[in-house]
Amino acid sequence: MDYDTIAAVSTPYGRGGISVIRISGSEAVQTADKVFRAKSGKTLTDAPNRSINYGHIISNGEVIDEVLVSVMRAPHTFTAEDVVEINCHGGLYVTKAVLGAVYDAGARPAEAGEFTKRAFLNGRVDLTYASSVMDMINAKTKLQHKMALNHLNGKLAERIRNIRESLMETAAYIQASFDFPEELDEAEDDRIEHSLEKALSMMDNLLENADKGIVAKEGIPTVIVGKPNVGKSSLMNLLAQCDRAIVTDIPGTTRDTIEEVVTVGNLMLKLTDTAGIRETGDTVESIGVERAKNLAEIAELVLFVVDCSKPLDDADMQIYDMVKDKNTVIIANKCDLADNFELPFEIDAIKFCAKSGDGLKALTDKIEQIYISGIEECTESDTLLSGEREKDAVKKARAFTNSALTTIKVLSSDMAIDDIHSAANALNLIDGTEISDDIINTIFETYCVGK
Amino acid sequence: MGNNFHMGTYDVAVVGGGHAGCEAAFAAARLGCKTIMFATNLDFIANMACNPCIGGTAKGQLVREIDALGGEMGKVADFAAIQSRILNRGKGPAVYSPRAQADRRAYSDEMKKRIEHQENLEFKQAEIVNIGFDDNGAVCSVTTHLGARFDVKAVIIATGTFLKGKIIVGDVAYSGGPDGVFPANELSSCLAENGIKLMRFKTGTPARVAKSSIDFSKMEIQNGDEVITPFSFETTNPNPNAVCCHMTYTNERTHKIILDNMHRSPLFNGLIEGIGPRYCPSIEDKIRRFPDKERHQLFIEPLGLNTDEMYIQGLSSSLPEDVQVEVIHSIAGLENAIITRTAYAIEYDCIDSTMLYPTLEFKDHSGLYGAGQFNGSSGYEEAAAQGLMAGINAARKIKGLEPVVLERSQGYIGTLIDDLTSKGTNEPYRMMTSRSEYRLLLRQDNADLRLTEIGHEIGLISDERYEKFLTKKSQIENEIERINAINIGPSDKVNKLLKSHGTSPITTGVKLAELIRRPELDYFLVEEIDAEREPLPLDVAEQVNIQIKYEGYIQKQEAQAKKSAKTEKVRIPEGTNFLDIDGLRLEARQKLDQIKPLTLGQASRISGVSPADIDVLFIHLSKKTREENPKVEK
Repeated sequence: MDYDTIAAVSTPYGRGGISVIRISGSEAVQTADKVFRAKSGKTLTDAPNRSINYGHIISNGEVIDEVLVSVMRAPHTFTAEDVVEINCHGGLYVTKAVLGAVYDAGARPAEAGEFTKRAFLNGRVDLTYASSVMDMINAKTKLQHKMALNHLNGKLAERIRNIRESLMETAAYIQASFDFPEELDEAEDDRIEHSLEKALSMMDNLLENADKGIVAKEGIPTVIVGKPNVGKSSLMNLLAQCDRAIVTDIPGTTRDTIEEVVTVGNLMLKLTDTAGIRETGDTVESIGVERAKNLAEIAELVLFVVDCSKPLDDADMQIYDMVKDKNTVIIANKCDLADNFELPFEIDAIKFCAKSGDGLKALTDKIEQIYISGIEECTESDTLLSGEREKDAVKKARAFTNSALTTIKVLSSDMAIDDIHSAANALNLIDGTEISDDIINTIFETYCVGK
Repeated sequence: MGNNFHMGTYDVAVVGGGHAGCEAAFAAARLGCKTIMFATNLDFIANMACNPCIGGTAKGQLVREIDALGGEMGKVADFAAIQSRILNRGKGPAVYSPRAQADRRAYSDEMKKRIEHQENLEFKQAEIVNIGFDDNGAVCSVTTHLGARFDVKAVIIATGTFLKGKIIVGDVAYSGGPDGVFPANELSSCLAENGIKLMRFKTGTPARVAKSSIDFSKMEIQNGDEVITPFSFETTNPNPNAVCCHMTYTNERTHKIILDNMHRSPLFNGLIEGIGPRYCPSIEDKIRRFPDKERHQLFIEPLGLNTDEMYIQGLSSSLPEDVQVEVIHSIAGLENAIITRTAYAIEYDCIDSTMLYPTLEFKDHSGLYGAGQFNGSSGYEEAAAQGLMAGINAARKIKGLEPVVLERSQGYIGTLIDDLTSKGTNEPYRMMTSRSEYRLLLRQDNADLRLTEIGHEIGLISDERYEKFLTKKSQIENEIERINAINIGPSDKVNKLLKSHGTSPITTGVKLAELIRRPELDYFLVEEIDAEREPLPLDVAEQVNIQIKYEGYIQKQEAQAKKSAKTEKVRIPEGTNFLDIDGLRLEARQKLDQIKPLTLGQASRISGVSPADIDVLFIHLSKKTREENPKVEK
């Protein structure tokens, strides 16, 4: 049999230094070629069977990661289909980004046990294995469903439901007009475009905030900046110690920093610790400034530490200028050594003592205030998409809806209806709703049709 | 039953002479089976007991498909058509639906005449009261109410609304068939005794009024199309429009009369037990369910050319007769209407259609088939489609040939029968375009391209018609190939044409096909700049236009169909014990055991069977195959 192309991370998430993204299916090699640039300049299509190729993963013109890609052609592979495995760096962020690029290139997220299922159906797995494959499909489907329900909190689920309902209502109206052309008011026809546009904007809204959702689940990328010797390491240690439930150590994307995920109050922070870098010689200050600049750019949250027992200098002010427009919390450390101090910043500082832990509560409150209430202002904190799979589903639903709208505008509604259903089905993947054929019920419940 | 005597031996007996029965009888006889068709009243062959029209949304497509397979309905409808229209003109070719008002007497007489002339086919006025089975449970005879026994190899039941028919008007209810004929009250108990599960469905029909008593000046006119698209691919000169229909509306007063008398409706006084169709609501139902709707549209349709009687589409009712009179007289143009036939509801016995294989043969009774309203459907076209397929499959079984089951992607006929046999229905089932996931493929315009080949293979399409079809097919293919090869340069003539149709001019060469795909243009509009074009028949040109213009959309759906064809092709061996398959959820085991699907595709459409269950079932089947043929292992 000839199957579509699927992809998934086949190593445990967030563990180990390397993640493997497996792509399998008739278009596996072509899909990988869309995101991979080999150092040698060759495409994977031209690469020899069972070769390992060095290069980069590119998405939207930007390099995401440096990778090794193995190409294995059917039938002598795990699934007996063409298989490509991308070995990328194991950080959650990078892994997700690479997987996202592979989805965008046309692969579909693999379902529970799907690689094994294909292996079996293509005759690769021994017959005696059949019942365990069946058990696995069932168990994983249940688990996946449960997981889908668990991480879909009330409001996001409601959002998804609203978008889907809006799409299905539009589909029902169009289909009712196909089946009962004499009984529906033509005057209502504008509402088709109108409601598709509304669904699009709801999806745009979800997607705009998707990255925030993903970081909220995996930890908010956070950096601690400040001049040398202001107490950054002490703060790092304090944050790492104050909660024993350290999730995981993740060797990061840049080799010279260490990431650590810690929980602070109700939030997870993915802290990039700069303590691992030695600060030496007279370049000390320039390194501090330079590093702050680089890290602040990629971080979502900046913890800016100053030593309030000493007067501030130019370096402090330079760092301040770089980070003041970010989500920045200023930490006035060593307040135990300072009797009175005033800081020339527009942002309030938190009095802190990394040694004793004084001010930790205030810091926690401040970060929660930025994130939880800050997000609530623009949307609601829990209406955020929380994974690449979900994001991919919404992106696809959006593309289908957009295509339907264009078709209705320039051609005719009969050609658009499938795209509306596809959009709704894409959303079904997020909350595990079974595709249902209740459109006919909707038609009869909503419209007075029939003779 | 007293006197029981042998009166004849046939291959196939068809019980019922309605739209399903006629197609079944034609198909069986034409495929070489000695066939007899029974009807309780031979003056009601192919009677239109409800509205005097054939076709409509999805139904028009069904008629075209029946015609492409070699059925009779399209030709007879073209013969009896008195006004024709294509519905959904504005919504795109996938949902264009032909519909025609028919002279119902002419329709019935023409069908009867054709049956009389059909070789291998006899018909007889009689009520069948018993079906006989041999020791293996296979069907072997039918017996009439007078005790005449006919020995047969197959029986097709197409009893419509006749089985234990009950007419209900207000608080009056009596045993009766449609249109004032006798019901068939005895066959039900014979079926029940043989383990066939019966259900009770309900339908209804509005009043008929005398044309001379209608004030048409208060109504809107609805004319037919200027250019008529006939149903049959063989009809070359369709009847011109001879009548027009009229439109009027209910009003506040109408609604008040109905609301004031709602308590007298049999829907509420307990007289009606059967389940009615949602798409065929009575006027009282519409007003109860949609109280905010200020008026409901009504169409006044003539019953024929030789009659003054008119049908009021949209005013189906089972209210008492005195209320009906008041209701009708409250409507603009009908103030003085003389009611010739009172509206009524009818309840009847039908079967749970999941007892049938997709061949329409009963799973538990070899040689016994069901078709039409007996199977829980509704509508003349749905009935005819099933009659045709039941007739074909009964004949093929007798001849020892493989059955013919159309896939959902091949036709509305395939969709209809798959829905009935895989999902079942809890209300009279009407075909709708919404029921098909392959709307873009199942168009009325390409029914011949989809099905003529199959009709020819079965033996219902003559070699002569098939040759003509092949010519049309190659004309279409050649023209599409020719168009696809043409590049158009940016000449003044070209740009002038483009501008005149409000589309942007070109600066470099483009493919002609690309121009045709522009929203403002089509195949016909670019003729001027297509220098080499030879004149082609209109149906060929229309097909070329659709296939080029909508290519991308059609291809997408074809890919979808191809993908699902994989599971459609995985056959589930008869006798598979679904209850014993490890890994299947209990609900899935029970559902599969009940429906006994023949393919993995059919299994996937059974409600209560999840995609994971289908995976498990597929693995089970693969395992079986591998155990049986170990050498196939890759």
